[in-house]
Amino acid sequence: MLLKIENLNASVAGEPILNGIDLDVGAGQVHAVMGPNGSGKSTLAHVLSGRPGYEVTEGAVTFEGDDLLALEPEERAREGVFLGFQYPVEIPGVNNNYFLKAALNAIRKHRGEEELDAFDFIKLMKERAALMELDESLLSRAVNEGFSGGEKKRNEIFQMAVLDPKLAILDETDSGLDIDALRVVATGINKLRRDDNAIILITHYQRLLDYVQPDFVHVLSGGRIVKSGDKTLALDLEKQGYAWLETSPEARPVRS
Amino acid sequence: MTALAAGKKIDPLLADLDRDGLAGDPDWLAKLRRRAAASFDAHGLPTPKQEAWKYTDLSAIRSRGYRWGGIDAGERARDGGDSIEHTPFVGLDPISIVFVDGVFAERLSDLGVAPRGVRIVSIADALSRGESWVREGLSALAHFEDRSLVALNTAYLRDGAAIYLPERAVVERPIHVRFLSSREAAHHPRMLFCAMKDAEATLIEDYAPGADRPAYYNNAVSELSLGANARLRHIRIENEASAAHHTATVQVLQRAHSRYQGFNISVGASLARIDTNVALNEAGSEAELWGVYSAFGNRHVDNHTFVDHTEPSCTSRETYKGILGERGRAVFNGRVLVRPDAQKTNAVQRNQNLLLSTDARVDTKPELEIYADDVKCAHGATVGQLDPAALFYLRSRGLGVAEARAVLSRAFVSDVLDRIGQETIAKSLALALMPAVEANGKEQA
Repeated sequence: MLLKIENLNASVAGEPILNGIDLDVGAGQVHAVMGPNGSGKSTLAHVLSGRPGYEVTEGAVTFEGDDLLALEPEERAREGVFLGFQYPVEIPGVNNNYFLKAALNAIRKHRGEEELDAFDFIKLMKERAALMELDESLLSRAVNEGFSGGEKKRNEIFQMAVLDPKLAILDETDSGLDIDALRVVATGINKLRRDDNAIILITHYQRLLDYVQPDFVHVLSGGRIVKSGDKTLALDLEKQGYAWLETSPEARPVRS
Repeated sequence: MTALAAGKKIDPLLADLDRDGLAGDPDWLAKLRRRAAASFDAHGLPTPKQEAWKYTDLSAIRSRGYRWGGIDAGERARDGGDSIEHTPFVGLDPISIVFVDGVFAERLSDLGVAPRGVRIVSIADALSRGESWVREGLSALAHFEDRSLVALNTAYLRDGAAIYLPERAVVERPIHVRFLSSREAAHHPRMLFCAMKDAEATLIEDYAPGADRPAYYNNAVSELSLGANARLRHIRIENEASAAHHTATVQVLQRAHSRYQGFNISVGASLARIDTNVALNEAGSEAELWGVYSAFGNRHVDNHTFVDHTEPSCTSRETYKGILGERGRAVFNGRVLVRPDAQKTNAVQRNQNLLLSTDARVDTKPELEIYADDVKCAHGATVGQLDPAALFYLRSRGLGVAEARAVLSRAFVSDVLDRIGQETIAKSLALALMPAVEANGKEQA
């Protein structure tokens, strides 16, 4: 198993948000995690990537059999965990190319691979930018600075394409995208799907799943997975909305 | 003591005045020296009791007990600077004039072929040839009566760079004036820059160690005058040895429609105090003052700037940025004076500081004094920390904490460094900032 989450409980500022999550993600799989606002979707993404301020109170997470929670965020990235941000951060004064080269070489160094020189790096960037239909001129600008919402999200998937993670957690990558941008982002994600990597798609809406077909769909509510199924579950959710969660006894959130 | 009237006494800092090397002055210079020495003797080094020196205590300089008059001729003769390593900025291809321990080093300089009428010489050379523009220029702008560090420099004035651009002269290659210091002594480097009407140049004035970790004191004075419509880009770099002391006075005078663009970078000495004074003395002149400073370890850096708007329709824009870590200490004081006749003045001043540790400290104070009524003036000072969201973003991509902090710290000053317009210098400065910033990142990790 690539990623194994067992009884994960986590709090933010003392407030319990995740209340016992169990999830197995195997290589080659795409899992969609859906749920209403406040159900803990983004918290799950942040806990898995090691964001400071998110405190794990119980449970375990292993990545390729090793304790993921013991690692610093940068160590998780170097092991092959990637977080696609819901709100990519603008960093004035840090050039996109420079940033990605530093990131890629940190990861390659960790894997015992040689660092890429400027020539090979530019070649890789051009190739992956074309894959993502990303305007190359964006790459010589500061990280996300002045990018449109769609450009920021495409830049996230572009970074994923360059860094080639084993596990990508894409946090509401579809939010704020118009239908054309959504199609481009989804096409990019599909091109990156392989038998030896996995993707967790965190999303509020079903529409991304029209383009990126998940193997599993999980519904998160009150910090727990209350229902799991195949891709048809997403279609049911689209019809019913999330209101049924309030009434279904099995879906009632457990508060500690 | 020949330089001062007998019977007065005599600050120990002036004790080297009657030594060798300062004899043989022309009469006017001997007089100037004497007046400056008397002025210094009356006031001594500034002390924290003076408002402008409230946060900066120079007593460590006095107690270090330097050889106040610098290296004597005998020592210079034994070693003509041959042991000095000199690494110019790669790819810059400047006209370069290099000084070692305050004295012109021909071996390290490359004066090249300057355009017709342009003079780029050492002050000592110019004095020995009796060049009148040097005589007229020295002390014309940097008055010493009320500034004792200028008085001390003038009393010991021996050498430095003298640059003269006649009307319409455009010097394409940057002029690089470098002051290297290798011996434990006080040096008093001087710079004189005079651009006549319509002349243009880029001037790099930098201070660096010429040996491994020397302790020394540079007390520099630069006088720069810009004629009507003249243009000067002045890049001043204090990258002294970390055990060194550095004080400086930069005095700029601008005539009508001239444009001065100053970059003031201070990253090296354990104690640095730089006074930059710009007089916008005729209508339509423009000054841009950009500053970058860093303070790590126990370093103390103090920038005082004074922009004097005396005439109408002048513009001044000032941005100073500082990065402070460990127990670093910075002072910024920016005074802008808009005199009654200076209507239509446009003046903006910003000071921004990045604090990387809780033990670092900055005292920042803008002083706007406005006596005209039709002006646009603004100022602002900020003190902040690294953005945790940006830090996490970089780490989530694989950058270590130390590297992420260094990247963001450099990004904080990158807009200023990028404006220098000399990529090779910007890169070298970014590198000069790096070791301290990276070490600081590790400490915090």
